[in-house]
Amino acid sequence: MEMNLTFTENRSIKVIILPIGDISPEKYKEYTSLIKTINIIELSSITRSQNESTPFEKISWVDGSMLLNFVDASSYQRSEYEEFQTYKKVFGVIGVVDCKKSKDLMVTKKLFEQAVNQYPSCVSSLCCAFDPMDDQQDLGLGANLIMIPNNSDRKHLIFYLTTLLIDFSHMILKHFEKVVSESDASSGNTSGIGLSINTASGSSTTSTNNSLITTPLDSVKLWDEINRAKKRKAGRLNKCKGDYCLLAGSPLDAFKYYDQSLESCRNNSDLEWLGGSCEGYISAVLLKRNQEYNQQNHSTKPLSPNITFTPGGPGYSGVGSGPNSMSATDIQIQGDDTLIKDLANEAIQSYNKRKTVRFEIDVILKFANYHISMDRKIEASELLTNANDISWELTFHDRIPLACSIGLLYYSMGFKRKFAFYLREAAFLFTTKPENWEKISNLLLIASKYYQLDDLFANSPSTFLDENTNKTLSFTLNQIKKSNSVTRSGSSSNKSSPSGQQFQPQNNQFYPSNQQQQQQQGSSSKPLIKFNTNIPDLSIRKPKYGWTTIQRYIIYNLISVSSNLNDSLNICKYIIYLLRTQYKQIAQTKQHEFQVDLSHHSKALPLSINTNVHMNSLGLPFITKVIPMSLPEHLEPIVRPNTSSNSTSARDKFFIYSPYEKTEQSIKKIIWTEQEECSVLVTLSNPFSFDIFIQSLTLSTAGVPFESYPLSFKILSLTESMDIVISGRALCAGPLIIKGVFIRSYNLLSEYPINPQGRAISLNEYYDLVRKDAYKVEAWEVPVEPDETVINKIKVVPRLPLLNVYVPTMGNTLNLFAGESCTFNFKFENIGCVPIESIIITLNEFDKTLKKKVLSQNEAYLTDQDDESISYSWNSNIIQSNLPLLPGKSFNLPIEIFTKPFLIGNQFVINYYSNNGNQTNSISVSIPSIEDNSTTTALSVNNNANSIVNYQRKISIPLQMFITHGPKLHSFDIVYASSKTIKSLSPYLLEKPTQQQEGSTSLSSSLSNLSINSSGYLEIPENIYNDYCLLLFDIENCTSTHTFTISSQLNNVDNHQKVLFEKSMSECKFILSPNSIITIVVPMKREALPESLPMLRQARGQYIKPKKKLTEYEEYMNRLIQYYKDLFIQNIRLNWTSSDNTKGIILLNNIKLTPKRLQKLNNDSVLIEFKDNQLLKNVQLGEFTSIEVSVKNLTNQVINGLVLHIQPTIDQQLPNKLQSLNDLSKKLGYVGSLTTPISELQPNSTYNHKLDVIFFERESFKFIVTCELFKTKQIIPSTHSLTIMIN
Amino acid sequence: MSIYTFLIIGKNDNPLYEIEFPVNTQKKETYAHQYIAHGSLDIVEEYVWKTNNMYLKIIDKFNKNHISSFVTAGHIKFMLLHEKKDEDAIKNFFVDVHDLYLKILLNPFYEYNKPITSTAFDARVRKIGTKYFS
Repeated sequence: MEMNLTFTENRSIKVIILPIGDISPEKYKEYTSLIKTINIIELSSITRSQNESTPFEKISWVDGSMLLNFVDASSYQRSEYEEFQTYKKVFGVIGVVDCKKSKDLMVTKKLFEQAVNQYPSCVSSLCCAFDPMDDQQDLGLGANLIMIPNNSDRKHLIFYLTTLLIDFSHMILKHFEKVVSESDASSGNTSGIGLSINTASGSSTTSTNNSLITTPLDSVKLWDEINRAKKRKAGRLNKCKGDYCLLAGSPLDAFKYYDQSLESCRNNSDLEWLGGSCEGYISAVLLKRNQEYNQQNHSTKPLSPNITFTPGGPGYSGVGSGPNSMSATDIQIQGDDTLIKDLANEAIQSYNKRKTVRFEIDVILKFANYHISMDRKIEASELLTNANDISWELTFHDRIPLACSIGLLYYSMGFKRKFAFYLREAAFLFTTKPENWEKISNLLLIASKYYQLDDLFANSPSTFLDENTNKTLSFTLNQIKKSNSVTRSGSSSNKSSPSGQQFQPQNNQFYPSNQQQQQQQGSSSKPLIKFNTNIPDLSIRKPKYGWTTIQRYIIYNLISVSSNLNDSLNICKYIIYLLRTQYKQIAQTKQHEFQVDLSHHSKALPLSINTNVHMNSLGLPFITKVIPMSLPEHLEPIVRPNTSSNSTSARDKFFIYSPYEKTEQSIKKIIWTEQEECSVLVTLSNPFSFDIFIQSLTLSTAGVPFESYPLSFKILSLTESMDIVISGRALCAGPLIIKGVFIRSYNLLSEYPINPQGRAISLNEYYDLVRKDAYKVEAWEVPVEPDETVINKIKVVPRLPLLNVYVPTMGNTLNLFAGESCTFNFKFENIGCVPIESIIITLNEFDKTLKKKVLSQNEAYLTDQDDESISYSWNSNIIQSNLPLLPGKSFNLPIEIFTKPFLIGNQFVINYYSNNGNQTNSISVSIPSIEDNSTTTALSVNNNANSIVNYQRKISIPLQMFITHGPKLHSFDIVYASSKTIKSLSPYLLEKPTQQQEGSTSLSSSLSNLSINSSGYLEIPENIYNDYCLLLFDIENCTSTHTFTISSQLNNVDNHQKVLFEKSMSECKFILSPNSIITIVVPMKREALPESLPMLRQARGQYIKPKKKLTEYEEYMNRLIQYYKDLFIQNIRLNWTSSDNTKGIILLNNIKLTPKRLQKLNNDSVLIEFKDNQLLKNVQLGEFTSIEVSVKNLTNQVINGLVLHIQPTIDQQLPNKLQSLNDLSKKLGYVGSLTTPISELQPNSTYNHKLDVIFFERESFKFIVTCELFKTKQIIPSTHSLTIMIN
Repeated sequence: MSIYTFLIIGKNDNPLYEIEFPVNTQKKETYAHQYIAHGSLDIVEEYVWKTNNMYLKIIDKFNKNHISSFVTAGHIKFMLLHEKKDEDAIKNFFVDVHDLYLKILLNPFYEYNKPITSTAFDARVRKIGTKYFS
């Protein structure tokens, strides 16, 4: 049974092409393809003599043509119905010779003649000898063996061959003329007609009588049968003559004979010949239409693109009729169409009645093909369904090509699913022949594509149809004309016509019916084609859905076929595909079976098998994502800030804050270092019900060479997600792209691709990326894409140095006392291979909230000069003197700490680098200043292509401090003291330190915790004036564990400052027991307040202006307070040594100086004395006594605005007699006022004041005299009080 | 007893729902029927533009199996494979199932063109199936 049947078949002349002699299949294919291009022989090209007569009266020598149907000898099968179906007769034989291999042409000629003899019906033969050698002469070989001249130009070769084929066809035409004219001539003589036909054909039909035309269907043994045959002969003869006319390209002559034949056959109930005549008639109608079109083409120029009628006739050359003839043509088309339908139905019925299933199916297929060409898909489909229904009566051998034919017809309609269905049917029919496993496999493969399994194959046979681009034409003889690329076996070559190549497979789905028209319209339809190709290929992009059952069974079938073929590769492929796509639908036991099969068959495969290449699929298990990990923070290369560019960029930055900069900074690209280990996180999953052993897992990269360290492990069954870190190292610097991972499992290597975001992608997506040059490294040498999501592109920088820093605290929190000072060493060691040329240490704060909290608790200790962020200091010269630090070398850096209670420690940021190449050495001086994250800003990728980006490394060492108060200044006060007082205390002060230590407790108890340092000035005049003051420091030991030994040290204050501390206390030591308080007293001579004071330092947070402006006096006082506070802090050092042998000082920053206290420091401007410095006076009750007070101006200036106060009080020292001051008036009386203003007091003059007082009760009264300077509100007391005892 | 296989096919050639009447039949038959139904989709797509009716009657056949189809306004295809030609029952079946399908569509938790997993729908289709095909 033949495939691709059309009515065109009935008018084509069968010509066999034979390989002669030794010829390679490739050469044979090449030569035959040349010959096959010339399948239409225009009658106009045949040269005939004027005298030649022809029986074809109505033949059109201008528009007519003969159609050659070239058949390869291998695919030719002789039909026993050649008499009935004339077009199945072989009329010509063409031999193909390769002269290079067949040297002796005489032998070749003989071989050809022998071959031709096998085809007795052959009337014309031609042997084409291609590529002749120079020594091969074509003389005397006879007309049949023609040397084809060497010519590389295909055009010329075809022209040469055309000439030969015209002669060849002429011979055949002559034969047709002869047969028809002979039979016409003897039409009167009924006995001789059939003879000529039968003789000419030489057929082996079982004919008992030469005068009869019979087929194997006819039995002509009995008398009545012979009689019937005789009756039918006329009709049959006319049918034969009609066939010859048709073959000769004369439809009008054919009509004449077919009309007669139809009538005769109908009358004689010659059913199969009636059917045959109908077929011939239809073919003649179609041929006539084609010729008319050709005719119109010659006469009318413009072509209409709106042609609706496109008969599938072979000679139809793709031209339309002119617009004027459209209506006439339409009518004619409709008429012809009705005629064709009627005839076809009659033919089908006739064959059906005659029970000739094969003929019936043939005509059904032809008719269906005609419907398809008329875009009547439903009718065609119904016919095909009928054909399939009646095919049960055929043998299996015939049913296979029928199923394929039906499938192909469905394909040409664009019914891909039906096509797949019938291919699958054909494959199942093949199972009756076990040797056909390969064919079954191929059919199933083609079918599988249309069951949405197209991703199973990259370059499978299933693509062959789409490559040919056209549909109906592919399977009609027209294809031969349009494209010589398709051989009968369906294989394709690349030499299809240009217009054909423009068609994309997806177009078939959208415009199946227009396709053929466009093809035939040739150049005129090009814009339309372009439009079609612009349509997005939705069918390809369509996501995969459902039909899992069908797909599963198709794959089961494919697996079993592959098992029969012992094709381990495909078995593995199908199993992997099935498991990957349908693991949810496949039962666990089945999965285990597949796994066993897979491990069994994969052993047979070579190690070089890559599933991506050989299976178009990924292997097992699944990969979810692959994420490169940045190097640990201390190894991460960071961009070295370029000093020159920084300055310019700083100038560019007009605004302090810009949102654009912020976004730039947030882009953090991963940077790896050459020759250093880096790692990638791979997330796998195994949803299958069996464990998968991964033989190796390595990284797949593009760009610079990369060495990936393989990893081998097992993923347990039903593991949803498993994270694995694999590592490797880049072998040189440059761009690196992570393409995915290589996994070898079940002996099969797979490359799992990932997208730029690190997610696993399918192979198709991967190929898309490849097409977009996503893995080209040049494209992103300079990182141009600011796409944050791209994580698979990594920059590998050249080798960087490696610095190791040993910290004795190991990064722990340092527990220290406030005011403690200590030192520890950082050891810097170069453990890399590159000398370190610069080490820059900066300090960063690490916990702002903690800092705030601690600061708020210890605000009193914060002075204006203090920086609450810096806890550590070091000598940067030590670092510089050790640079460059060669590999293996090390040095120590002492770090000094002086603790203050508000400090919380710092983060050490150590930046280091080496200058590679010709870079100039940068200054490697460390500046111990805060760099508010300036180093981190350097992380932003420098987009300037011209600047060379240098890298450095950073080590961050957080060193937190926890500061507790050890000895702490609890309170502070200033008291007046006279030199006499100080002298009186001197016995205590003269004690030796050792003795003092022992007696310190007794001292403190006896003197109310007053440890006194006395002056060493022996010549102090012993007066009772308050020319001294005592600074009282109450020192509290806040710890319960430590004992502190406190020693004091007073700096000698220079004369300029005019402040004198009375003694250096360096030798004095005091013991401060846990949780106790001692007072340290520092005597200080009262001096006049300094005249010039430093300006008030601005408060912290200089942008915040104080709301209230200070008055002049307030400002003066503040400046004074600032001056004295600084003075005390600078000059009074109270050193302590703890029981742990740590050392420090007591911080005096929290002393509170008030204006009142400050006055105590000032020497008095006036001296107030009671007369004769009298301390006690005895007075009689009720007797007046006078209290005399003198006020002396001690300064050299006039003092204005003094107020003298005399304040009587009841002596408090006498207990049980406490009375309120209100009662005082009842107890004493006085003449005058207790307050006396002194308007002016000249320098060194004395003002005497006398107050008479009378006492009414026996009490002890005390009189205190103070003098208030009105201007400064300073109150100067008298050195002592006067006590009056009443007798 | 003749077998009826009912399939709902989505817009993108994806099966949404599948059932067989009577329910307990051999597994093998099911997948063979799926093949036939899958092939007939081409013809449904051709038929659907030639009529205004949702019910397309018998559109295809393969051997003894006939394929009737019903296409909703949203181009969801109902396919029924059957051996017996009982057009009325089949039409009523389709109309009833279409009602059910519309109700499923109204469910805010059902996404259009996605497989129907509702057990209530399944139970009702079974009921309708037994009503017409047993």
